[in-house]
Amino acid sequence: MKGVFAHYAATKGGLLGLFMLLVVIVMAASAPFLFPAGPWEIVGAPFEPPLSEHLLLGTDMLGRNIAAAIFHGAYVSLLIGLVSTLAAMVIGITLGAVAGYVGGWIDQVLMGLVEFFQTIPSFVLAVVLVAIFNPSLGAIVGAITVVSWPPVARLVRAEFLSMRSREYVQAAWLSGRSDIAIIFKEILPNTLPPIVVAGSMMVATAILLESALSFLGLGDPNLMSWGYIIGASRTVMRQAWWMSFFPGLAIVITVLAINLIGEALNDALNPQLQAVEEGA
Amino acid sequence: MTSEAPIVKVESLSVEVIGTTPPRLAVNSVSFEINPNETMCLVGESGSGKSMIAHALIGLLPTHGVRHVGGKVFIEGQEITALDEQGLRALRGTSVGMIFQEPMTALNPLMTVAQQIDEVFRAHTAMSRAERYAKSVELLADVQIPDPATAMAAYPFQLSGGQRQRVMIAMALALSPRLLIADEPTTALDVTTQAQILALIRQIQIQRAIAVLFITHDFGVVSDIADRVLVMWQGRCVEAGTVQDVLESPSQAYTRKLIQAVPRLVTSAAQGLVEPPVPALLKVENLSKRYLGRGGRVTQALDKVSLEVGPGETVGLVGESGSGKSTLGKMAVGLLQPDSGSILFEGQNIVGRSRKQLGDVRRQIQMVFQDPYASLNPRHRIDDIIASGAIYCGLEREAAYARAEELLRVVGMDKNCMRRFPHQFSGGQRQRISIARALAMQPKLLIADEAVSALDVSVQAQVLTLLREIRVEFGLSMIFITHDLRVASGLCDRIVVMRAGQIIESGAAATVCGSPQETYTRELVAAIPGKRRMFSPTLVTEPAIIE
Repeated sequence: MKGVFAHYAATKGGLLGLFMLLVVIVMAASAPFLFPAGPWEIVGAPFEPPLSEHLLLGTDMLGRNIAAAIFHGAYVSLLIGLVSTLAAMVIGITLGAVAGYVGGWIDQVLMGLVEFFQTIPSFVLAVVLVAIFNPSLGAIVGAITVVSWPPVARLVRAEFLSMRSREYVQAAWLSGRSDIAIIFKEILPNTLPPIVVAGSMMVATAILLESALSFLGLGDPNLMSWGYIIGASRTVMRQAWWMSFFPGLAIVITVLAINLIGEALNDALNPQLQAVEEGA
Repeated sequence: MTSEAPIVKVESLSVEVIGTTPPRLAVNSVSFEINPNETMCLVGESGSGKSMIAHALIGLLPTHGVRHVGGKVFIEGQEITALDEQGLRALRGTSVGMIFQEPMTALNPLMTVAQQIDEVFRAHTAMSRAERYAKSVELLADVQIPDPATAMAAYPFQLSGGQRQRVMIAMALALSPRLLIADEPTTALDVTTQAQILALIRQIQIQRAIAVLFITHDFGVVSDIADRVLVMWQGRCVEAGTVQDVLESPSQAYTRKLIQAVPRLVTSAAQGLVEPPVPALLKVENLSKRYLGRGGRVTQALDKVSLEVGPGETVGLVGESGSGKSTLGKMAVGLLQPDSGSILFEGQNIVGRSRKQLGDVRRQIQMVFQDPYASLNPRHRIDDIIASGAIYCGLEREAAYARAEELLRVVGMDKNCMRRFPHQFSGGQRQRISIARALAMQPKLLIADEAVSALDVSVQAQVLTLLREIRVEFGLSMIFITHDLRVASGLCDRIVVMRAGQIIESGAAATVCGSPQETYTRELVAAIPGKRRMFSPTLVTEPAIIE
C-alpha cells in the first residue's frame, strides 16, 4: 500500500483537495471554541455587510453572525455527508455482493429493487421521504442513504460478477472456505478501488443533497447547515449578497475538495497506471 | 535470392529501460538481417527482449519506461529509426505487417471482419468501396478461411481462435508488406491449429517472397518454420545461425538448454499401465453435460464419458479447446455439476452433494489452474494463500504456516518469499505457489488444468519435473489436462484423447502416442511442432532444468 500513498501524494489535485478538506474539518472542529455562543446567537445589527465592526462576513437578517453559521454548518454538512455515505455503502456493498456472488433469482430480485429506486428521480424521492418523516437529522440522513445506495449496489455487483469466476476464487472454494469468507476475504478487497472512489464522490453528492433539502426548508430546524443559511437568505439575495454567497462558497470548496480527492484516489489505486510509471 | 538486398537490416540496436540504476539494456546491441523469402526466428524466454526488438522495428516501443538508445534499423533501405510518427504510420501496414499472440484482443470485438479489413484499405489506399470488399474477400481466401463471404460478416467472437488468427494475418498482409512480424502468433492456440497456422505462414511467404520475423519461445516451432535463428538472452544475442546449425550443433549452453526443454513425444517407454489399478480412486461413469447457448444452440460439452483413475496413477486428458476436457476436470472438483452420470471418489458418489455433506472428501481433490496470473489472489501474501485452506480445515495456525513453509521448500521456493505478494513472482514461480496451495490440503487426487500451457517451454519443463517429484513424494493420483500430446506423453501413465465431448481413444501413454489407432489421434501426433528435424521420436530424455 506504500505505493498507493506515494502515488496519491504525487498528484497535485489530490494534495490540494486534501488541504481544502482539512481546512473545512478544522472549521468544523474549531466552531465551538471560536463561536461558543452557537450560530443562533444575535451578535449585532441585521444586514451588516462583511468586514463591518468585528464581523468578518457580516450578519443575516436577524443579526446573527454569518461566520459562526458557516463554521457550525461545516460540522453539520460533513456529518451528514459521511454518515449517509457510510450507511449507503454498507447497504449497497452487502446487497451488491450477495447479488453478484449468489446470482440466480436472488440476483434478479435485488436488481429489481435497485431498478425500482433508480427509476424514481432521487431528489424527488428524498424530498418525499423527509416530508413524510418530519425534517430531522435522522430523517435527512435516512433519505439521503435511501437514494444513494442503488448505484453502489450496481457497481459492487458488476465487480463481483467478474471476480466470481476468477481462478483464485475457485481455489478458495476448493479449499473449503465458506461463502462469507470468500466474499469478504477473497473478493471484496479486490473490488475496493472503484468502491472507495465512488464513495468519495458520494460524500460530495450527499452534502449537496442536504443543502438542496435545507434550501427547500426541509432541513432540521435545530441545525444551522449551509443549505439552511442559503435557503433562509434567498429572499434578500439582491440586498444582502453575502448571506448566500459565503455558505455557497463553502459548499463549492468542500464538494470540489472531495471530488479532487476521489479522482486522485482513482489514479492512485489504479495498478495499471502505477505499472506504467514504474516502467514495469 | 542472396543477390537481393535484405528487407530488414538491424545494426547494433539497443533499447534501455528507464529508471533502473544501473541502466539496464532490454536490447543490447543486436544486429541481424532478413532477406526476402527468409524466416528469421527470435528465440528466448520471457523478458529476453525479443518482443522489444519487434516493436522497435515498427516504432511501436512503449512511450513510457523504455528508450531507443542506439543502433539503426533499415527496412527496404529506409532508415526507420530516423522517421517521425507520421512516417512510421505510413510504414506500418504498407511495408511491415504484424500479427500478435492473442487474436481475441487484437481484433475489435464490436466490428465485423469486413469492417476491420476495410479499415486498413481506407487508411492507406484510395480504392472504391466495391474494390475494397473484393480485395478483402480475396485476402480471406488467401489465408484459407472456409467460405470467406460468410466470414466477412462475422464478428470476432463468432470465429474460432485459429480463424481469428487467420483474419489477423489477412489484415497484416492487406497492403502486401515485404516484412511480416509474428509475435508468438501460435502460443495461445491448440497444437493442431498451431500446425495449420505455421503451414499457412510458410505458404504465404513462398507465394509473396516476403521476409518473416517470427518470435517464439518454443524450439519445436523454430525447427518447423525457421531458416535462420537468433537466440536471445537478457537482451543480448547469444547465438545466431542457420536453423540446421543451431539445432544440430548449438554452441552455447543456453541454446542447448532451450532445445532440451522442448517436450518430446514419448512413444517407447515401458512406463504406464494398460489397465488402471483396482480399486479405482476416481471413477467417472456416463458423465454428460450440455450447455444452452444463445438462440437455443445446444453444445454437448460431455457425452456419456466414463473414466477411471487408480491410486498413484496419472491420467492425461488430451484434446483441443472445446473437447470437454476442462469441463470434466471442473466436475471432478465440484466447480460444475453434470446433467447426468456419477463421479465416485473412493466409492462414494460426489455428484449433486453439497460441500458440507461431502466434508473431508472434497478436500482430497485439489486443482492447479492454467493462468498463473489469475489463480493467486493479488491482495494476499504467499503464506496466507497456502495456509488458509488448511486452517479452515481445522489445522492449528502455527502448524498450517509450518506446513506452508515446508511446502514452499518442496516446490523449490525460498522461505523468505512467504510474506510477499503474488505480483512479485514470475509465471513459473506462481505456478509453484499454486501447486503448494493445492498440496497444503493434503489431497489424494490433483487435477492440473492446462497447468503448464501458459508457461515458456523452459519453465514448463521445470514445473513438469516438479509435478513428477511431488507425485512420488505425496503418492498423488493426477488428472493432467492439456492440449499438448508431447507434454502428456512424458508425464502420464495413461492418455485419454477427447474430442467434442467424447473419448476418442485411450490407453497406455506410449501406446497412444506411438501407435495411435484413431485418425484424430494421428492428426494430433502429426501436428506436434519440431517432429520434422528436431529429434527422432524414440529419443527419450528428461527435460533439462534451467535455473
